[in-house]
Amino acid sequence: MEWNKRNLMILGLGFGIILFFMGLGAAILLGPTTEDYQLPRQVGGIIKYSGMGLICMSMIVGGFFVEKLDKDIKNLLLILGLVLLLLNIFVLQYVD
Amino acid sequence: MKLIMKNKELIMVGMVVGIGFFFLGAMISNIFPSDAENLLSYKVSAFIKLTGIGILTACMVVGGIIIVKIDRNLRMLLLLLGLILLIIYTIGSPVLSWDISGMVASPSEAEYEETAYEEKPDALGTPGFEAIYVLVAIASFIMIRKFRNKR
Repeated sequence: MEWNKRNLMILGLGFGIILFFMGLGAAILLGPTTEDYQLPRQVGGIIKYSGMGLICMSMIVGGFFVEKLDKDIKNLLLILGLVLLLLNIFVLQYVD
Repeated sequence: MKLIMKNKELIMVGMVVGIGFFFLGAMISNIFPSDAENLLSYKVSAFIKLTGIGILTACMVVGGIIIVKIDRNLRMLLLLLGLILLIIYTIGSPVLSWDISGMVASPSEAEYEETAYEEKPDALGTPGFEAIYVLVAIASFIMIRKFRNKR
């Protein structure tokens, strides 16, 4: 596989999505978070937000700078990438 | 036998594995029911289910970008539904956190187990959880098609 921008973006997107869901699962697997036992939230948060970061980076950068993509796909990636980023900035930090 | 898998087959296998993981997780929680004293099967099944949904979503999104030998509209639908599934789970992720830090300061073992069992997140496999968003996705897809036809 050639390491060009397109393939890197696709790899980042795939790994990011799997990491995000594994972070959600890891927080449940490690047990309930209590005041004395914060490990599930910490581990889950690291994995989840690393994945979400990869997803947002891949979508926004891919939507802007990757050339060998269909125009509609690029628009969709860019718009939904920004929506996802804004969701994380403005909504989730007050809820989570 | 030499097995050469192309993008399309890889994405297909990934989607099969993802859906399989989801139902495997659902089976585990049914075969080994969990209660307040034994939450292991719940934890393992939730992890397997979420990993399965993750693999499925990743395959939908990546497949929507890289598969070339399918209908263009179908490819857009795959990408759009994958991204909408991702947004649903992003918005729904606080519901899936399992936090019981609001309970009494020094609970007994039984109280702790009972609270942990009662507060466990159940939304991850509830039928109908995604239905509204799928309808929204289909409506957006139809709108995009109409817009493109006009253009």
